[in-house]
Formats: sequence, structure tokens, C-alpha cells
Amino acid sequence: MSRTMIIGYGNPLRGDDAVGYHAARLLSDMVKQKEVVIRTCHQLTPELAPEISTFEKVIFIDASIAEVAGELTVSQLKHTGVSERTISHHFDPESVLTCSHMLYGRVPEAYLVTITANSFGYMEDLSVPVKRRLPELTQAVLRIIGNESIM
Amino acid sequence: MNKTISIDPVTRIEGHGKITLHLNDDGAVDNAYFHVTQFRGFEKLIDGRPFREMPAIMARICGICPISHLSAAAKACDQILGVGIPKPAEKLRRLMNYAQIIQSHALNFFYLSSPDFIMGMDAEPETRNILGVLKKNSQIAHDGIMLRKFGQEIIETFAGKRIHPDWIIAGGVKTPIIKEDIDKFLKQIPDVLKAVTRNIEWFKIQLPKFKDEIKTFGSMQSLFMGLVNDNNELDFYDGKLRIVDHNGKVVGEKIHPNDYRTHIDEHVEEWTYLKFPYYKARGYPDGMYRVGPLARLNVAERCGTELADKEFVEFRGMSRGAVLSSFHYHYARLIEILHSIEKIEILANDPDILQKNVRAEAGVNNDEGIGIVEAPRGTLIDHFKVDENGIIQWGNLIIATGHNNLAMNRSVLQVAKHFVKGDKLTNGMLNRVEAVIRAYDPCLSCSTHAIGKMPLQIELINAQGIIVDKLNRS
Repeated sequence: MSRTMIIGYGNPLRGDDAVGYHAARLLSDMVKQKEVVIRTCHQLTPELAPEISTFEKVIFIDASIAEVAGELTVSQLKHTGVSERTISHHFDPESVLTCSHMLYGRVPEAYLVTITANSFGYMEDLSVPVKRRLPELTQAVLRIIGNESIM
Repeated sequence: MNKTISIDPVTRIEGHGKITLHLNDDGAVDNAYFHVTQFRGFEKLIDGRPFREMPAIMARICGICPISHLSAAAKACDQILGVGIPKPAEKLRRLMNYAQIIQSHALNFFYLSSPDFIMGMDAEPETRNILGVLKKNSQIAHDGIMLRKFGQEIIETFAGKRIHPDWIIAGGVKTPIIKEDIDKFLKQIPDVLKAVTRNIEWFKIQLPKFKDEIKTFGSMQSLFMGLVNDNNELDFYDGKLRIVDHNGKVVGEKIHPNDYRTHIDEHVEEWTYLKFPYYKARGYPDGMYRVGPLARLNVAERCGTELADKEFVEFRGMSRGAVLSSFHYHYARLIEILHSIEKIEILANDPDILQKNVRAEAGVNNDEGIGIVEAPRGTLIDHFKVDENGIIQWGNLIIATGHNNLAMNRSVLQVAKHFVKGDKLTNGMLNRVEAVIRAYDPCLSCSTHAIGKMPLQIELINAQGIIVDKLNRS
């Protein structure tokens, strides 16, 4: 198994924004291999770059905004250079990969797994449509960890 | 015909603000206002809550400097308990505050401000960010990330998490630390010291390129305030308040934190949620003072660590009295990072911090408590009154950004008068007006206790009150 880092991010006080956070906690109970490191954070920051550059694979888990709540998507990421959105409060997975590439000359194989949010209101629980898809999200992440093709 | 320019939102600061620039009939800037447009009201929110909750609640004010909010509130609670906390606990609180100074200053200097130094004030806004810095000067980006990570990881390792930890409590800290953890950071000291000294040298070389900005970014007479220890050295955690004037002459000395209200009052203006603290002896607005890195290096006689003291001499040598330009907040910030790393090394080698006795227990022994620390942005004051059961009856918070409010407004006016001409805004003008605010590293979320957002706007308004130009960044 390749060394893999899972980063579930979002605000646990803002409903579905925390789907990555909840998924990472679930995965912590499910994944016991020492090659897999699981982290949660409120938001992505440049300080993640040194750490991810040491892994072979990285999986970001986040909420997305689209029309159908609860929709699960898995996409492979590439470092794309400097994003116009890159300011300190909006650091996206591609920016972290770009930092890793430019500073350390290494970019892990990277995936973004998302569920479309239903609500970003002030609550600690996930909405029903998002919660319902959480098991599928964790299965998708497990398949990526296992190097199984899911694309 | 008079006109007004409005900058809304201001970018690369913490919080939400707006600037309006009022032009006279000749198209020159006549007046400037820095409005802070959001409100959270923590002083009312805490009414009726048990005092022991204060550190954790106060930490929620800010995601950048929660350790300072924890520490100030915990110190106020220590007074309510009527206890002196165990020495190991005090040293651990100090250690954490140094870690936070490093990560917060690194965020401002490397992530938010260095794009202006590297790409220039007139560069396209899309390139003025940390990834732009990375493309142009990867060593600086690398050093910034390393320094911020160093501070953040100390906080996470000992306090449990980087943002909003609740490890610092009334009476001390929750748990002792272990040697393996502190040794991990001791090993990193040579690298982080190299990183910050490299950037101090680099920044000093850049200074001549910013002569105009140094002359106009809040280069003005004011008072300066900060905590110092008994030897008049920098002290971020404890000590007495000291106030000096623009000549460097001491006008307030050994002010006990409990006496802050004898010396400081707060003025309210209807056009902003951010209050205007001032030095009472000089009245409002003449009692304008600055806090934060620039002020701390102006009030102290030395830093108290070897490497930082060498830089301190050079820094203070720039002026016969106090160093007056707010552009030099940046330089001071780097010196404080250096000092904090040296202090962390000293504390990490102190066997006291591994002691298990980290918490004093007591009930409510006083009905009032005041805690003052130096947060990254300046002096932070927490003041609570409780009933016999320890329930909060009243609270007053004066946050670093608040202390700087008068100075920030004056600085915006100075910059605008120099750089803004006519009734059209250019990106270079906008960025310089923003950059002077950024030099203070204001945390508007902290100071008004507002919901954290980055943006700010500028409006240009004429004598009839009509907006003739407007720039928004979101």
C-alpha cells in the first residue's frame, strides 16, 4: 500500500461544510494501516504542503456547491499553478499541490472527494441527504486507498 | 465640488472594513475614515456565564491569535480565584504565546504583506499572494511556511489543536507536557532561526525601495504603549504597561494592569463599530497611541535575547526618538519572531516546564479580575466582574486593533493625501491605502468581535455626498 494522507476539512459548526471532517473521523475508525495518515482541519493552508510532499497519495474530502444535494463526486487533481482565488482564506487543494511542487519538487497522486452540501447553516449535524451518502463517500475513499480504479 | 472615494472591501486583512476618502473642490483628499462594519458583541454575550468559561469563550474571538485571548482571560480568572499560578504553568503559557507570535507574525509578513515587497505595490492583485511569492522568490515562501508551521505545531502539540484550543484555563493549564514533544521543537530551532535571520537581512535590503511608503505610511507623532518586564525588556505575557512619546520619552511608567482604566478611556464614533481608545492624560484625540510590534520595540529598552537585541539596536538606530513610521511594523515583526524563537529555546531547556504541577485550584475569592497580555497585534485587555457564584456580571475587552484605531485612521489619511489624486482610483492607490492598514495587521474580527471576513471596500464621495467611484474586492 502506498503512503497515503487523507485530509477532511471544513467547519464543524457549519452543517454540511463539515462533511470532510465527519468523513475523516469515520475513516479513522475504519482504517488501521500505519501507511495511512488521517487529518482534519478547518481549512487548507500552505503549511500542509511540506507534509503532503512526503506522501505518495493524498485524498482531500470536502463539501461542494452544486444543484443536487448529496451528490458524490470523485476527481483526480493536478497542480495547476497559481490560482486567482489564492488568498489566505481561500486555499484550494490545487494550490496546496502547487506549493508542494514548487517548494519540494514533489506532488503526490491526488484526489478530491466531495458531497454536494444541502445546508451551511449553524449546526453541528450533517443534513439528511448528505448524511445518507456518507457511507458511499467513505467506501470511495477506501477504494482509492486500496489503489482500485474508480474513475 | 467635494467628492468621496470608498474602498470596500480592504483585502489581506482579518475582518471586514471599508474606507471612505473625502475629496475637496481641488480633487485632493481632505479626510479619510476607516470604518469597521461588523459587530459581534462578546462583552454582552458573556453576561450570565460562569467565569471559568471565559478563556474558552474568549478564544473564539479569533482564529489567528486564540492563545492570547485564552491567556488574557485566564489571567483575569486567576485574579478572580485569587491565586498565583504554579511557575511551570506560567512558563507554559509564555511558551504558547511565543509560538503564537511566530505563527501570526509569519502569516502577516510572509503570506499577506510580502507580496507587496516582492511584486511591488502596483502589481496586479491576482499575483499578490503567497503563490505569487512562491513563483518570484521561493526561498521567502519556504521560510514563511516553515515559520508558521513551527508556531502552529507547538500550539497543536501542547494545546491539542491549532485553532481555538482550550488548554489554558483559570489557575494554569490543563495538562503537563512531555520531554519528547518539546525536544521535537528544540531540534528545529537552528532552521527557524536561520529562516528568520535570512529574511531580516533580506528585508533590510528592500527598505530603500520603499522610501515613499516609509515617509507616508503613518509616519507621524503619537504615543506608543506595551508591556515591559522589571528590566524594561519586551514581555509578551506579563509585566507593567509603559507609554512613550514620539521622542522616546517615557510618559507613563510601571502602570499596573489593574490600573489601566486610570490611564485609558474609549471614545465612540457613530460611523464605525470599532471604538477609539486613547491616553486619558492627553484627551481625545490627542491621546492617540500605537500598540503592537512597532510600539513594543519603541517602549522597551531591549528585547532581552542575544540575537534580537543586536537587531533591536539597529532598529532603534533608525531614529533619534521613537521609530515613527508604521511601515516599520514589518521590520519590528521580524525582530519579534527572532526574539520569540530565542525565548522558546530558553524555555524548552528549562526543566520547570516539565513539572507536573500546572494548575492551582480555588473558588471565587475576588469579584473582579483583569488580565493583560501582548497579543501579536498589541496589548490585549480582558476585564471581568462576577457575583459571589462566579457568574459574569460585566465585561470589558480592549483588543489590540482597537488601540490602533486612531492611528490607523490617521495613517489612511496620510497615505491617501500622498497617493490618491483625482476622482478615479487606480489599483496602486487602492493597494497602498490597504497596505497601510495591513502594516498594523488589524484583526477586525477580534476588535469589534465581528464575523471574520477578508474583504474591504473604498468609496470616493463628493461634497454633495454622491459616490463618484467605488472599488470592491471580495
